[in-house]
Amino acid sequence: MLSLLSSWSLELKTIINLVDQGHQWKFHGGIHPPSRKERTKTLAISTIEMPQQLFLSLSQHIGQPAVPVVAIGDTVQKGQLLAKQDGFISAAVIAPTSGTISDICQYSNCHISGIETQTIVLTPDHLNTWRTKLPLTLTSDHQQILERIKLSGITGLGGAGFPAAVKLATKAAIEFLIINGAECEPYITSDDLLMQERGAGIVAGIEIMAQLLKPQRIIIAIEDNKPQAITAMKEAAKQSIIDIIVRAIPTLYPAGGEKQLIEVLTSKQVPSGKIPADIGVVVQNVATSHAIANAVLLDEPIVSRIVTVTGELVDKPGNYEVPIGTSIEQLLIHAQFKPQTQQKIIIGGPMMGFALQQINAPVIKSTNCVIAASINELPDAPPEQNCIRCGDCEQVCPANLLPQQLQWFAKDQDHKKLNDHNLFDCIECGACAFVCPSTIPLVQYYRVAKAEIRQTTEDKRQADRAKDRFEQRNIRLERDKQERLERSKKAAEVRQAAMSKNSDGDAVAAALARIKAKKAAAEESSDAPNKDRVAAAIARAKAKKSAQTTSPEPAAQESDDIDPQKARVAAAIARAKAKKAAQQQKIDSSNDQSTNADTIETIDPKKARIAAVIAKAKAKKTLELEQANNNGNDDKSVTVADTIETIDPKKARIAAVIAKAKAKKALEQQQSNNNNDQR
Amino acid sequence: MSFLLIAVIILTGLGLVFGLLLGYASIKFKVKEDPVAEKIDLLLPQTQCGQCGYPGCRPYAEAVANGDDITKCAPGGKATIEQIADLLSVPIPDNSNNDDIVIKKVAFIIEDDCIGCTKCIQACPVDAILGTTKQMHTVIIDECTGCDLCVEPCPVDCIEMIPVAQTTKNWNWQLNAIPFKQLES
Repeated sequence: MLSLLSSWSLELKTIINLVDQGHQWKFHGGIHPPSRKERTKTLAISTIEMPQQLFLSLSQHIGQPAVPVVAIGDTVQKGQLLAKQDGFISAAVIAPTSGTISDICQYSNCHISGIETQTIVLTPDHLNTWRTKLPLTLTSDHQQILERIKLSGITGLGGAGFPAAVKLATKAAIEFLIINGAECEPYITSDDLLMQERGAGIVAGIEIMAQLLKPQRIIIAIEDNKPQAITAMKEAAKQSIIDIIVRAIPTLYPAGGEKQLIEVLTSKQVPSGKIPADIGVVVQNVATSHAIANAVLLDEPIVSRIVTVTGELVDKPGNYEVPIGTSIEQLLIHAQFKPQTQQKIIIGGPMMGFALQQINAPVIKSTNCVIAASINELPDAPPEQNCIRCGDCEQVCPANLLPQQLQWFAKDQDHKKLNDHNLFDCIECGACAFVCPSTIPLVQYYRVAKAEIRQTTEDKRQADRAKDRFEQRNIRLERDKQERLERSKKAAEVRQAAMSKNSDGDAVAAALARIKAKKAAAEESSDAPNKDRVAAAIARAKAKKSAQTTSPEPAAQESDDIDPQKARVAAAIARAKAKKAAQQQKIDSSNDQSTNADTIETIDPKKARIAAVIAKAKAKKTLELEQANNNGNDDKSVTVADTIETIDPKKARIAAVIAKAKAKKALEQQQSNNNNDQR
Repeated sequence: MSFLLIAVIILTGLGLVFGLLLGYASIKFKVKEDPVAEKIDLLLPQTQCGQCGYPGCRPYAEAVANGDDITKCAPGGKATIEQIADLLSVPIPDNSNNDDIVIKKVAFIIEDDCIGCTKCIQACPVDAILGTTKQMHTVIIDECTGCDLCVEPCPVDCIEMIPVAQTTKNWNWQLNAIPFKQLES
């Protein structure tokens, strides 16, 4: 164990030594796509006019959508919190300017699917008034700084949109803090310009992160096709109070990928299914670093970002600092966009970006580039041909995967094999599709397969949970049943005990009981019982008869003569039942049933109940009928219902009741059967 | 002679040792439950809806293990039938009409209409409905399996089954199936 530890520390020492000596490594594969950065790499960052409306999606990041803390009509100030983070992996949404909240609705988002997400719509008042700022310093409490970064809604600005505070809150011992200024995708120059113009801000952010993470080495990595940025950052790093290494790395796509960059700079490989922090590395984008400096030292949360607008079809390309939530349409109009037929607008780079579905989608925190390319510039991919197993894709894969094999498995939906071949290590860089001679959209296959696997895993998780809950519920029901039985048993025992005690202890009570028993016996011994029974039968018959005559009063009178008490009880029950039926009627029936309820009250309780059931069934039936003639007008459906009522009400009623009873019986039988089966 | 004796002794000894080992293993690692039913149960969607005619997924799994028809699981759809057929090495029955893709739905209570009768709560097999007597009820969407069992008992028909909305999270990356709308310029 000790030897292992010492060898590990030795290895670490040698890596750090090698890094200090300026050593660099290579990742597997990689390609050289045309960079096409020339058009915008010298254009200074400029601003655009404040839009009439800002659309702030609550899902601008990876993880849970944010939860709004403002309501429609609220007046907000620049920098105010609009939606707070929900859960650990989530990010806050901030007001990019002052104004009023005009709506909170579903609105198209800057996402490849074009699915609408919950969005806060802010109408700016064009005063741009900041809320009160409470800046922190480098020496502030770590927890306070982290909290500030969290509340400022900072996510990774390089494109993936992972909440920045989560990475910085890691408990792992960090050896390397890497600041990613590689910007390896074609066209994009927003980070390049940020480094050229705002190096000091980036370095200030690095100092804050260094405070939080205490890394052994800090490296800013920039591809060697950005000489101005490298000089600017070297200059800024010299001014810093801490040691920062600025390293130019060879231009090779995708050197800006997190795992690839780590391998180039430190020779370390992030194991499958792990995150960089697990091997002691944290990577942050340069723009994220700049945003962190703003949030902590100036208390200015993320209100805008730099977006490269380029492509042959814009006359005024540039690197624009735009408020978050500006519609891409407006950005393009500002850049003097001339649309073509079958125009595609690409968000992000041409390798990993996507064609926008709706032009009114807003700029979100991770939108680093908008490309309005002509058809000649970025033509549609030719139709897919069969794989010829040339193996070129394997040669360029920066994640050391077998793209060709993955493609077969993805087409076959063989999830197990896909997992075995580490599909989830694919960073979707598109290098394999770039070199494919058969122009197979490989990445698209992987994305679909990944989504499928995620869905299956989620379904499985939900199924397991449902199973668990079902079983727990059955256990609970069984336990309740046992408890009820136990209770009634106990109550019975107590009753019995009390009775036996009474008869034992109280002689007077016993004597009284005896006397009572004797009296009862005497009464019974006379021919009263027979008489009683006969009388009851007569009463029943008479009651039935009277019920048929539909007037309850004479029935009550007649029964009065025979058996006053019984009759009274019966009458009470009848009244209660009628009342109940009437109440039920009120709840269930629509207005046209009220007349029925009136007549019911004057009839007999049993009939009333039946009538109530019928009424209910009718209500359901008419509803169904209405639904059936949904397209026709209401009058029509009413007349249909009426005719049904007049044609054969009695038969229908009987049928309905029978059907209901049968259904219930069948259900009960089935249940009992099932129970038997279970046993 | 002694060679023969030694050989016999060794072989007998080996036989005894392995016999004891096997005997011990058969007791120690005895499989109590029917492993096939367990495996089938894992393939079922666990909606506990009872549409197969059994009270829950586990009883149906046991019934299938004992030779019942494998096409009775409606929520599982064709995928489940295929998986069970694969597991049991039986052909997929042709008469299965479950070839539609199953759209996951969840129950939704129209809360204005709810009278608080608790009938749906009693019907829910996974305790996904919240509420009490004469109070409005509501469905915990994350726990709802979409089994439909709460719809029938409702006396005021205030429960609807609504399809689970597609979000950017559960989107399936089918690029050519994107619904688009024309925006007025």
